[in-house]
Amino acid sequence: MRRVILLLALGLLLRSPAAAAAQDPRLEARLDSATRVRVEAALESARREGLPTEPLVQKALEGASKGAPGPRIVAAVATVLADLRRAREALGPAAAEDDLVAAAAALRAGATPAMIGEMRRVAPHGAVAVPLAVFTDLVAGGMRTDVAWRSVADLARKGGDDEAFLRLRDRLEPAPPGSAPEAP
Amino acid sequence: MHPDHRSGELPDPFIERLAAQLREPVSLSPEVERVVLDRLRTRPARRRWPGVAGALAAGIAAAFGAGLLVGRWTAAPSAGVPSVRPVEFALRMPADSAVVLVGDFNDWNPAATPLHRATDGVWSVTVPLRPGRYRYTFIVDGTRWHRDPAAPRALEDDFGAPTSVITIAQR
Repeated sequence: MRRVILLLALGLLLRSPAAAAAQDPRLEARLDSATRVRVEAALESARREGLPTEPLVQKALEGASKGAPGPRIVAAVATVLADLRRAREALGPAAAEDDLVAAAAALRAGATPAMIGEMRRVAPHGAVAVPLAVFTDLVAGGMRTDVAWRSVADLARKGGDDEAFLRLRDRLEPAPPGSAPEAP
Repeated sequence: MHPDHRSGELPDPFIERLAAQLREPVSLSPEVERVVLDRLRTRPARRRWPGVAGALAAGIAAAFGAGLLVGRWTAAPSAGVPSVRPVEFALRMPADSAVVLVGDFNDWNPAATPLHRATDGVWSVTVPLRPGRYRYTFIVDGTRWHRDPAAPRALEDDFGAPTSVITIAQR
């Protein structure tokens, strides 16, 4: 009887969600084995630290789709993981996944952890995902970091909702109508 | 739909007869009844598990069950889960023969989301998306990567090809 119970317990452990999540079938189909092992190690680190793994998976799949060499994919995934760690340091351990992802991108765009923390305090309900995404978009569009930050932080202090932030971005960086697509 | 299943029809006599038989109590012989009762009386004493192994197995089973339930709760749609919105992606490429969309929402899979061509040379597709931030790009004729000219450029082009970004706000 005891042996049956122990076997049952072992079977349950092997079928646990953590064990099932250790290998992502999407990666197995798209990455070579050496790259996959290193990407999965990064995923495991993210899991252990309570960070979201999907941005890492998507970065790896993007690299595979674009035909990037394995070391470059691994480096890009490691950068995303580092960005997420910095984002969580800035936002705190209870940050929502969307907020973490947006904060990681904003930090990469030139925001400081202090700026992220400030946005957390002033944004309506502390939801920073869209304000930080708009900040990142404005910087990516060529706006200076301090100017982009001032625009977004001012709107946050006034209590702007998500749609207001998106309108702000469209006003400051209008899409060029009928422009030709950018060549790679 | 079969006519016999419509509501308001008279019940089938055969079904009624069968149901009446099933409603009759089943009588057991005194010997069978005695054996069953003996088994029921002795079962609790025989189900005692060894203390440590029993506690271990019960704990693991409880944790596993809780994990399954949590997984179901988080995967199932609920009032707190943001709603999906249809989002149209479009690209004007009148001289090309195929355009596909790849991005964070389809695992960057070139086979997942082809665009459809209208007569004016604009290719488009509508994708259901939850609120969030997504990076994406178009692949034209299977070889050329084009970012969306109507959307912000993604800052982090780690792999050299142009990428766009879309932010879907909560309503």
